[in-house]
Amino acid sequence: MRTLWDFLGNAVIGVLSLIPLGGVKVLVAIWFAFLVSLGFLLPRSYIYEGVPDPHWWRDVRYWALIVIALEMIPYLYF
Amino acid sequence: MALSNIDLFIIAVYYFGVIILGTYYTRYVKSSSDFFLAGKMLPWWAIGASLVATDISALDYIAASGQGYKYGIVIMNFDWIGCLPPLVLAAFLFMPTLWRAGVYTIPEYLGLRYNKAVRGIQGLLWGLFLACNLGIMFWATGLMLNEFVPIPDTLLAGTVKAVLEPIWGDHWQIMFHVLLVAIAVGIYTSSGGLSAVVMTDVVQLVIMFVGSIAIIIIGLVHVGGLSGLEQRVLALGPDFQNHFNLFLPVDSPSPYPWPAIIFGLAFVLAPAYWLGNQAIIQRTLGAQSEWDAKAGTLFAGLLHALIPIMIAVPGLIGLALYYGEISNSDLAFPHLVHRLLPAGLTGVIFAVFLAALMSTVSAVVDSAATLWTRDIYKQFLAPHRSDHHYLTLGRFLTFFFVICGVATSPVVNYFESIYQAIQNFLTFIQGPNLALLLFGLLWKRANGKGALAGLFAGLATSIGLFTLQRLYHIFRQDDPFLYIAWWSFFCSTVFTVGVSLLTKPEPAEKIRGLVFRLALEDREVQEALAKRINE
Repeated sequence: MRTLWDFLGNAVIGVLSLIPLGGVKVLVAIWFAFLVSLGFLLPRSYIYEGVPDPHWWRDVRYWALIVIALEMIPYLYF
Repeated sequence: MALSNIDLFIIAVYYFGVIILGTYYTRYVKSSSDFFLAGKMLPWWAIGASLVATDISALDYIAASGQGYKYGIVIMNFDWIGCLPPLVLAAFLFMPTLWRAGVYTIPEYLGLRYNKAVRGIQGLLWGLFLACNLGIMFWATGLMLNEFVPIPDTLLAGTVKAVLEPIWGDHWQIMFHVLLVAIAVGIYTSSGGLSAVVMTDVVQLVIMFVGSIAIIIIGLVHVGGLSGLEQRVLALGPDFQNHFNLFLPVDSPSPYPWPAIIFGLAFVLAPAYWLGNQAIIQRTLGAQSEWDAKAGTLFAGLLHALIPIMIAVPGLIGLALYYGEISNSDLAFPHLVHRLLPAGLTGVIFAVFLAALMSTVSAVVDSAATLWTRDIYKQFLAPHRSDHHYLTLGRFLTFFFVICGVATSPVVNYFESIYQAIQNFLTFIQGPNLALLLFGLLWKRANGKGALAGLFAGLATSIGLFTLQRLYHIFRQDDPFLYIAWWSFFCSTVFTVGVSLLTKPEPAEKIRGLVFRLALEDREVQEALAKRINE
């Protein structure tokens, strides 16, 4: 059991070691971009649900875009 | 550390101000909905601030700055990638569906979506965790506050010692801090309910920001700015070369190699915490509109982006300035306060600790009372009582949990394993909890049998892996909680999907409005849900 576990564990770590840390950052950037695009796939009526005055600044998709863009900075820098 | 008169004045103003503000909201509590969900009147800015204040406890200041001292900025992942992605998902997909469902708790939603057994088990697991965790939170922070500001024997001419020492012996000073927090939280939470908790959270968050920014500015001036900080830390030697990397290599001996951060934290623990933790999501369920629920969640994401800077950077500053002087990394933050801050600001930092502690404790107490009232008492013991009855019970339970937390807190000191057991218990339930919630909200084919199978499979996996780690050390890390969370989520997913596909789907009428796409397409769901809830 222990030998099998070690074998599987080493195999997984061996595969993951092939991914450079820069590649991990790219994956994170893709993940963040996916989240923003997810918001823009939703209908406008759904975004404004419950709002008496649908001004542009109440569009929470832009809120998400700003917050995610801010957070991507440290991930790209460090 | 001795406090000056100006420090004591600041602490007193904060303490009594919070109690007065919290109890002010008692006038708005007329029903159980007012008490548990703030009458569904919370605006987005209060929800956002409250989400962050609830999340950040006083221990975070100590532990996160300690981890920053020890491992560097990798710890910031917990508040960046471990926070924003789940909050965006919550804002767009989860919160609107839960808000429309009109539920008070996550187990209540799971009960509507799957069956009563899932609701009962989830309610019991979360109810037990929240209630047991209170004693630990009280003790740990009482201990920390006492390290920070020991209570002198001569306080109030020795009366405090004379009263508390016969009850708690040598621990009377720690228990004084515990009582200080418990009295304030007990008063405003049991009287004002969620409104009081949220509005005091707003004030508490402002204090936390002011105090933290002050210590960072003073620290950075001493260390020569951000570039000076980086140069000083990197100059400490080869052990510190990864201190400014957000991702650590796979073979890193720290608990935070990048696969653990991505798979364990970003994909499992963080979404489970932000989407499935009752203490967190309750304020969103009390939003005055669906838009406020979404906007409040995203606003929390914006505020939370600043948190790692506030709690981890002091650890790095402590490393740069006092490496060699600090014996334990967890003492980095108190050491910094002791060495750098003038009179007045020390009082502000103490108020910051009190604020962080009170905001988290009040949220846990409020959520525990809600869970036990709605998911245990109303569901299984007394289903058809008046609304006033549940309101009274909610208030009683709030006080009861505070008293239990105070009474049980010294016990933690004698059984170190209790603390570890409660933390492990949370890791055990997070994976399956996320799987059930995720598939319940996003996949209409998931059914009650699949959910039960997934719940037990996830719990069995995490308990099994934990036991194997204890016996055979199967993971390379000493504390592989991130990996255990990932595998329990994975197994729970396999069983939920597999058993659901092998058994009958839920009737369309039962899951109407409870699955994201169905809620999105069907504008009549509110009526259907209101009818179902009243049944």
